[in-house]
Amino acid sequence: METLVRDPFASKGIEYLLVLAFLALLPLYWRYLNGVPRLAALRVPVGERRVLSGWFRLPEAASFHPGHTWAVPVRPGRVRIGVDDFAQKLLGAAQAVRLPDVGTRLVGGAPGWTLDVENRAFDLPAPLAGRVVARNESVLRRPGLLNEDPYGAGWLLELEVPAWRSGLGSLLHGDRAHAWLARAEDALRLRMSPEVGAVLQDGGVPVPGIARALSADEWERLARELLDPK
Amino acid sequence: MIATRSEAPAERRGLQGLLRFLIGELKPKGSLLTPFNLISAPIIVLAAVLLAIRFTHGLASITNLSQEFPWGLWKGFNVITGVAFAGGAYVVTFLYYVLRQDRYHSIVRITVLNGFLAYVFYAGALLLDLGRPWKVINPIIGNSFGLSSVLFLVAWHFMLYMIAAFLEFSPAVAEWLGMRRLRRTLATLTLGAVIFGVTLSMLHQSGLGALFLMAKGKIHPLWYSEFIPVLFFVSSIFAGLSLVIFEGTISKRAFRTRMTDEHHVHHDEIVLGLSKVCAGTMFVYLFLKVVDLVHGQKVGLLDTPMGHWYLLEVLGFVLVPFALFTEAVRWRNQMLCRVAAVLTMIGILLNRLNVSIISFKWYETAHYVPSPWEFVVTLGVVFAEIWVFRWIVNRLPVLSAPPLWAVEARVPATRPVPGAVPVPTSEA
Amino acid sequence: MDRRGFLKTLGLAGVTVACPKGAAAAPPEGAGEAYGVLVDTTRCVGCNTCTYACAEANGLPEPDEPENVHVTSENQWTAIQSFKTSRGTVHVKRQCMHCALPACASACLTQAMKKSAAGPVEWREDKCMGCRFCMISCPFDMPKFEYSSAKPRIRKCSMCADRVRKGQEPACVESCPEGALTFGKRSDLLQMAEKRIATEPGRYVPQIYGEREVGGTSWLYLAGVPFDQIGFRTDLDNEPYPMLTTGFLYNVPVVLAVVPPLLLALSKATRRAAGEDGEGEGTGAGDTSDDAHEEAKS
Repeated sequence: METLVRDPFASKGIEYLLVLAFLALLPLYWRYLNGVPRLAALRVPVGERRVLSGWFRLPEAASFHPGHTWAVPVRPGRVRIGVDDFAQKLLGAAQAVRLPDVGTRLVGGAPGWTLDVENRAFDLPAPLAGRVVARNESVLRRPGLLNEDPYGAGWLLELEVPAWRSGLGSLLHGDRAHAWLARAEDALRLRMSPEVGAVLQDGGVPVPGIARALSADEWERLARELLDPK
Repeated sequence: MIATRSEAPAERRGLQGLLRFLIGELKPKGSLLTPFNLISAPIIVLAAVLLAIRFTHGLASITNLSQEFPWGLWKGFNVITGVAFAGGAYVVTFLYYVLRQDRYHSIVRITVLNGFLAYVFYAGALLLDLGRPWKVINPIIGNSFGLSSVLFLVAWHFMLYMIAAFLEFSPAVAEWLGMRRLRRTLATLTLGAVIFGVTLSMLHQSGLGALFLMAKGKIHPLWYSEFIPVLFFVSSIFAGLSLVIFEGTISKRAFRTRMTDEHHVHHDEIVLGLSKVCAGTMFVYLFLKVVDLVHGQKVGLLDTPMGHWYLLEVLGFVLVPFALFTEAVRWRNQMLCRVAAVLTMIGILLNRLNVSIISFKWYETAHYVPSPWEFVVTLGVVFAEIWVFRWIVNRLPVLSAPPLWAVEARVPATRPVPGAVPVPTSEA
Repeated sequence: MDRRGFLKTLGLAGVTVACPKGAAAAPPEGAGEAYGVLVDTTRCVGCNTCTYACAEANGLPEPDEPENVHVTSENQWTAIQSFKTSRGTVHVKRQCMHCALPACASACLTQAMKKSAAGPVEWREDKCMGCRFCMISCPFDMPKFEYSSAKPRIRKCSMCADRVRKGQEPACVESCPEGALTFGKRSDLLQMAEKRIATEPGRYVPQIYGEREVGGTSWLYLAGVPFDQIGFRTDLDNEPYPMLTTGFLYNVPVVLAVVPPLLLALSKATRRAAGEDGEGEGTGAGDTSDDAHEEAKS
């Protein structure tokens, strides 16, 4: 008459094992979910936002240094860097690009390379610290690439950055990058002549660069001011 | 930046002026002859007629409910499923007000409005299903508190949550009516309402699952679980967020002109952020499902017809969208996020209907199948909600920016953008 | 000894659950002691006299061919089921079991379903809002609903509560010509049932259905064949059904006590992390960041 009582903890052992497996899996999954796919850099144009007035491109995958240079992880520990659309359009066609040699250690925020425009040299800051492991030889041969595709074929260097996550984290990304670019654009607009504005509005760029289109005499001072990260 | 501002004048004095304004706002904006209206209006009218029949001739006149299946589509879909989809409101308010994830700012109001209306209409659909709705105040007025009832708890939490959600939304109403002082008072209540609302949501989302705890033996063991309250709560998180993602896609088209620039700009980041939350909670949910299978010792049931149906739900509409969400987040792929959201919503629909209807008394030979009229009324409720939603979005500052006075009133002049590192500004 | 303790708990549970104010109708004698009915299926011949008596006593429509009706309905609160078994045809009278701790009463959010101290589980028209949660919860599927009425009621056997209150037997018991039904105090009925099993072990299986199922029911059954062969659910636990929800319901105050402070603390912590100066004074904080956003955009 007495019914056999079912062991209420019959499956407890397996459940605890499952929980342990879950906890072991959790950090792995967490890393995976928050990780950056290997081919991120190649996909930069995907998900790009045409924002604000639409003058400048702001790829979602990139993180920005306020000195108008960008960084994108290629794979864990390795970051590709370059010049952003704002700097490129502001300065116009580059005569030459001078890149540091492979093996050079760059300091974040300090001048990393030099663009020669109209016989004037512009130093641009490395977005983050690291050791140069690759240079874009094509852009050295043909500096125009930098203007044609600043986030793609116009990349400049690849750095080895062990602390790449925190390094990228300290840069401007997503909404913050957006807010920053909006300010840069506002600052530009203050100095804008209606003619240049109209060209930009149509999606075009003054061939010699925005700075020279704004002021033939003082363009260098103007460009340095607008590129200044402070 | 030029943002669409509410056209309501900031100052409006006197009751007469207010009334005139309200009457003016009642007029339709834009054409009434849109495809959506042409489809939905007849259904709403038909639903109203059907409900008139239902209230004069009893539930049997238009539903297929029976002694064996006392709860049908109206409870299973409108209440149980609809409320799960309304979960987005508590998750988003939690993200924005408690965790201060500022990027969600532009969707807070529309999500809260959506949640509030969902509760009004879907929890309100409970009234359509009640046999004796004139007694509905009994559990409220205190002469007959069924304190031991899970439904008592759920009913109270529905009511309290509606109040909390309305408080969260109320500053928008005050802005619409131009009532500055009221807005200030209401705005101070927001955080309190949010915390209260999140807690209540935890309890009634799980409570909806707990309703079925006493249906032990009547619900197929694969769906019956002592963890069902937890499963319902966790799944309401990604159910609600999937609806927010889906609804955002629609709103982006339907209310394009009313959306602020901020919203347009942040839209992609918002979708990715919500997708990440979905992926994370689905990871947990899938684990809970495995534990439930092991704990209930029901693995052996998987290779039965009901087991295959179960696997379709869990693998096809939880595991697959989970994987899609994960990849979508990693690749920052908007389209994939949306696909995953739609699949997730189907999965939630399946799950809630499985628990409340499909696996309920699976052993009966003559199973309940909703009558066409039940579907019409269900659709009518959904459409009616969308009508009210649209009416409000087109008038109140929900997607559009609040009036300038509401923004300027309490903003210290020099304040950094919250959550941002000092943004470098170019010197003039 | 064991049983006495058990019954005591039952009686107490019945009282505390059913009438928190102690205002329910007092049972005719022996307060705290619930009544019940013992059904001896070995004596039942399936004549349906009880079905007619039930209809008459409760003002239900005259049963139409009750011998063909095997499940109870809103118009017929008791029904006879017949089973072909190794011991010939067995007739089983089915009706509400009147659980000691009824699922329907604990499910009811208006206390319309109520277990009275005397034993019957009664439905009260002035309370019920027609949600049919009792029907979902009842392990025996006994509450029935008038789907075809604009003023529907939940209908089920009331164990003739009014008659019991007056000290009378339920109508079905009174009418049974075969003595298959016995009305009495539940403890007496259990004793009687045990005695029958003991004196005629060949006639009965050694189980009293309803003694422990779902925590015990007021209606008890004796049978000559195992109960699963005559339509009884033998998969039910001995734990009362309402216990299935206690885990959830007990935790509600805990959640309400723990979660809001946690959220408050979290919101405070994130405000500091966000580097805000917190001049928003507690509750308004969320909204000030709201406005800062707006400012940044305009």
